[in-house]
Amino acid sequence: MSTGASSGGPVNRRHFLRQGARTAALAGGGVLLGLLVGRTSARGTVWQIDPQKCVRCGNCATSCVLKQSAVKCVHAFSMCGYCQLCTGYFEPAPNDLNTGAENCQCPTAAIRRTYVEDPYYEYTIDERLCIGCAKCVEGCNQFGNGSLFLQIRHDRCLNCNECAIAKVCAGDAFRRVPVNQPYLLKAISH
Amino acid sequence: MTTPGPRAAYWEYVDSLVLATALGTALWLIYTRRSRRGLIALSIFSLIYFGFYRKGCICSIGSVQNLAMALFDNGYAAPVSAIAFFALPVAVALFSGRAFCSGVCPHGALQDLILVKPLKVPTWLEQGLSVLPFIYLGAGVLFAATGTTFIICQYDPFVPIFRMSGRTFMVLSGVALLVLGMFVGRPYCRFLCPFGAILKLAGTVSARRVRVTPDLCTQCRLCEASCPFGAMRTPETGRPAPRDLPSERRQLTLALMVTPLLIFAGAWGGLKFSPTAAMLHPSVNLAHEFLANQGKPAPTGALSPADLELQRARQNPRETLVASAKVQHRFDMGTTLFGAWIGLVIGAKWISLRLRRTRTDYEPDRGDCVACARCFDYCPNELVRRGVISPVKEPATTTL
Amino acid sequence: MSVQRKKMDPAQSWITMGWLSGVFCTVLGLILCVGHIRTITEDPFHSPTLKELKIRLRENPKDEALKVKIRDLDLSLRAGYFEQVTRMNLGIWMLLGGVPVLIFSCRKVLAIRRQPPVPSGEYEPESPHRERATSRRAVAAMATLMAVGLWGITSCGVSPLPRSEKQIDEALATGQPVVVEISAADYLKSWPRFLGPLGNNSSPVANPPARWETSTGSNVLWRIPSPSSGFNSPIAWGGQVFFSGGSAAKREVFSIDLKSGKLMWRSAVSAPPMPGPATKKEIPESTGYAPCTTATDGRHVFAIFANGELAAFNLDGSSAWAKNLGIPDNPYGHASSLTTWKDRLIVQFDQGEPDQGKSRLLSIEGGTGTVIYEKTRKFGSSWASPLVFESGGKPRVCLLSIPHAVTYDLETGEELWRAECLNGEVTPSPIFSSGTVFVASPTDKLLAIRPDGTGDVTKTHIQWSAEDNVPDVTSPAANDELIFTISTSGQLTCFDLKDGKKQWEHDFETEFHASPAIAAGRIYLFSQKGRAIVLEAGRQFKEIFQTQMDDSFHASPAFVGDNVILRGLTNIWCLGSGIPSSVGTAKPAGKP
Repeated sequence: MSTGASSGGPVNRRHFLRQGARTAALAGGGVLLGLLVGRTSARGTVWQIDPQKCVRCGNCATSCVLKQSAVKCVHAFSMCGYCQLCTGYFEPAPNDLNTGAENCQCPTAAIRRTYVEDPYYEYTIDERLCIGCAKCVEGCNQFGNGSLFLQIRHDRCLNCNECAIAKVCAGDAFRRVPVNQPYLLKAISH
Repeated sequence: MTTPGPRAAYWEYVDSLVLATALGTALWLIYTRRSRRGLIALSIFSLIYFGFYRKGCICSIGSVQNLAMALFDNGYAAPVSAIAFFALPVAVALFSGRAFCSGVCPHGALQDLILVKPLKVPTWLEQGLSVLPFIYLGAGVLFAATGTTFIICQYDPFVPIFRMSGRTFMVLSGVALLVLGMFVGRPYCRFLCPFGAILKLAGTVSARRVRVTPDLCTQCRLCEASCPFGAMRTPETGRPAPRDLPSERRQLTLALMVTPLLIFAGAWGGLKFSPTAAMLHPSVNLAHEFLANQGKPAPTGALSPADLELQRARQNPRETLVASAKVQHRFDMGTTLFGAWIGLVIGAKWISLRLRRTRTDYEPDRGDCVACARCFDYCPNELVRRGVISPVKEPATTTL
Repeated sequence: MSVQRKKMDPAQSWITMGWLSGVFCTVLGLILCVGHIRTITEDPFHSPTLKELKIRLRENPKDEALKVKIRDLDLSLRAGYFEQVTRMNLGIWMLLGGVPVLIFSCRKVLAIRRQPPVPSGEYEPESPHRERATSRRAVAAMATLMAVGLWGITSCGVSPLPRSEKQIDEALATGQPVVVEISAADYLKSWPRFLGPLGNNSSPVANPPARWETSTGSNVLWRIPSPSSGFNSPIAWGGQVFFSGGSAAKREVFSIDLKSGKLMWRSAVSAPPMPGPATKKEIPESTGYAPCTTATDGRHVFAIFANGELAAFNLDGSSAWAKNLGIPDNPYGHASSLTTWKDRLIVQFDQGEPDQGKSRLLSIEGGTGTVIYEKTRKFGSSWASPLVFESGGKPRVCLLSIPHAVTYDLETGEELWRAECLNGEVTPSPIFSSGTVFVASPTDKLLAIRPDGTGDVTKTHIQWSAEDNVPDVTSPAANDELIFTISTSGQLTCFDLKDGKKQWEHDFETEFHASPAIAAGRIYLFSQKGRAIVLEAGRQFKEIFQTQMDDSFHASPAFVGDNVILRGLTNIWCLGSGIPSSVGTAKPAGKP
């Protein structure tokens, strides 16, 4: 390879080889892009949790790349029973039905309980405090209507190329959804 | 309930446009302005925009995986930005070298900016480690194409720094790499970056190249140690002594013949590696756990995430195993190709280290040069050309 | 040069700044590390102290000081956590400010101190060649290292997973979880539901003592104070005895160790409240919250309460599921007991008036609580319990409510036949013996119905009916030949199963609410005033034993092994000398 007759020889040959390789690379890249064009979504995607598949494992609170997870509990009020004994709010077999810390499930007190009228109470989530641990979601699903469920909140989500929680999701509930339909909400189905 | 929307879709195009503009600026700074200062400014901009503002996502380094997954997974469509972030830097590199690395890539910019006192990495170590990016690239493509995981993203050391949070291990590895980067120039770019590997190949065949000076090289050797990234090459005659010629030829022929063998050996080893690699795939891992726990009682009480996952498998045992089998077949193909790729990388590296080069000037290596423009300021001819110093008649007063 | 530096080192200020920022960054970095570790260990989600305090509160539910302690700790943990997160954020931003200063200072110092490059040594054109030779060795070493590494990982060994259709079939076949079927024998030697394993208030295998002495404790294995009130009867499975108890505050299921009489667990029901408009219905105090007997499928124990709460517990006391069927509209309170068939739970939930269509028959999957079917019944309130029996090899369930005895296909819930034969407030439950269903219309008639009919069988399948001393509260008991009834006032009557001919009767002149029960050829009777009577279950009246016990019995006895389990108002009793190993050690059957 290094036996060019003149000092100009190998340089020219190299130049030629390089040009050939470049053309080949461009052609290859073109083909690759051509293949990809059909598989391109003009509309981007974001990550979301399918609440029907969620198994409330608690990984959302711990596996997000953010210190305080982008996954939070949301409340479908249309499904809520406004129960006095809310199993999402209260621990199993609570000591008493009041807002004392010893009775409450939520580790960060992110659920607010407000009296509506006897015997109804409204439950709202304070998202600044919610860490997505799914304790209330589990309670509500096991004994209640399942009106509490987890969703990725897109005001916080960084939309990582690959969601770190999706990798460890026990229910395989994470998926990419079109950016114009970024939530998979529960509602009463008829 | 409120549903705050995600970042609007058009921002993808804005990002791509910013990338294109940054690449254009980089080219202008490297080839026209030949300005290190300008590149520093561009680096700071990229670091802030692509790094801290966009949190390192989307990035070109990871986009390789999006493309690989889009090619092999019919259910996945790569976003426009991923394709733009992959194609633009490669296209630029094919024509004008690694302008992307110089100051557009936030990872490169970060490492470039924190470099304090570069130590010279011995050539043998540099060359030995230089195969790693290619292997990392192969592994990244393998795991993305099989739908396993985006390892390049999951193990990216700098993204946790851009996000200012992340897994403890990744944050620590990022900090470690930064501290190392203060004394070793761009360790991630040189010894790990899989996208850098692609750009290196593209740069090797680029039409235009970065030169220390467009003017005549007087071989003053002032730039000899100027490159903190080990990309500076010294002049070579390209011709061995006549008595060495036959043996070198023999060696080269041998290397050329051994390479296919290496590829086959790699492919064979890769196939053996398939079951282990497949375990990283959630479906296969679940099937494994399912079979390992078959016949054991279902756990009661508070269920761990692993228990819940197992429960999911137990509800659909056949589906679990069928999904796992499908992935395993993919992995057989994938790891075979991956093994062959490793063989090819080693073989090609070996051959390239057998070749002699003809080089009359001091010039940065086409592939290794990240176009940081540091060496420009070392060349007296260049400084004269740019009017920084005036050509002096009496040699005694100059640094020469 | 040295003179210059003494005068004033131009780098000095940068060196100082470098040091300052270096120290700043290091200290800040350390603080952040410590903070990070703290947020991991002492956060409100995993705090062991908080967990422990909550457990302590469970033991002393009335401890107000403990409650205050929990609240304080909870608040400080939460506040601490969020403060820590804020502090960490601030710290990171400060670090982000400090690091560039450090880097910039260092670079400045080095730039000031930099010597112009002086190429050293002679230029050797051959040196790249030599370098390449060492590089080749390095690449070879790298390749070897990788090969060894990959080989090492691979040889760690991953058990082969099935790949082909055939292998998958094999894996599924071999690994088929061996669900231990609850065998008929297991079932027969237990008392899994109201009316016993056969549905006729008799145990085919139990051998309880014929006599005992409460004063000396002879043949009384244990007696424990009743932990909760409720009129439901005990059931027994394996080495466990179950019953329920409840009040407005709490509905619970209890498990007693059959061997020792120790309380194994008590688990409160946490059923969800009923959604919808508030129900102002009261639970009648006379019957209370727990008149319904529990039932087990051998893997779970089920309980229903007068307020419509339905719950399933695993045999270890953990909750499996719970539901709220809503407070039934029943003037005396819901009293129908639960029953099971294989892994199905059967609930008779009759209420209101016949035309209201509020009454229901539910079939529920025991393990999950999934409702398999829910049939609306055009009947009013009933206090009888459902009877599960097999006819023609198919499971059936018979429900009583005025004026019909209706039998359904248990698997589908389709009605098979009905017989118009009931009057009054239907409380005695139907029983099944020798292929015949026996139904008592309170203080009216005792009827034998052949269960193989379809449609209205009133005219065709009633084999016989008798009108002597028909009970209005208790259910009959039967063996293969005879059926015994006891009226509330104490009239014990014996009929022949085949033709309904009265064999004998005897008046004990004391009030009975507990049904008679048969084991080892003997009838056991327990009166409301604590009188216990043992008779021979034969065609002649023959009293074997009679004693006065210090309790009051409303609940029917349960036989298991060589024991009788009694639930009095004040005590839970276990009569018998000892536990035969076959019963005492029997593990609660479950999925392996």
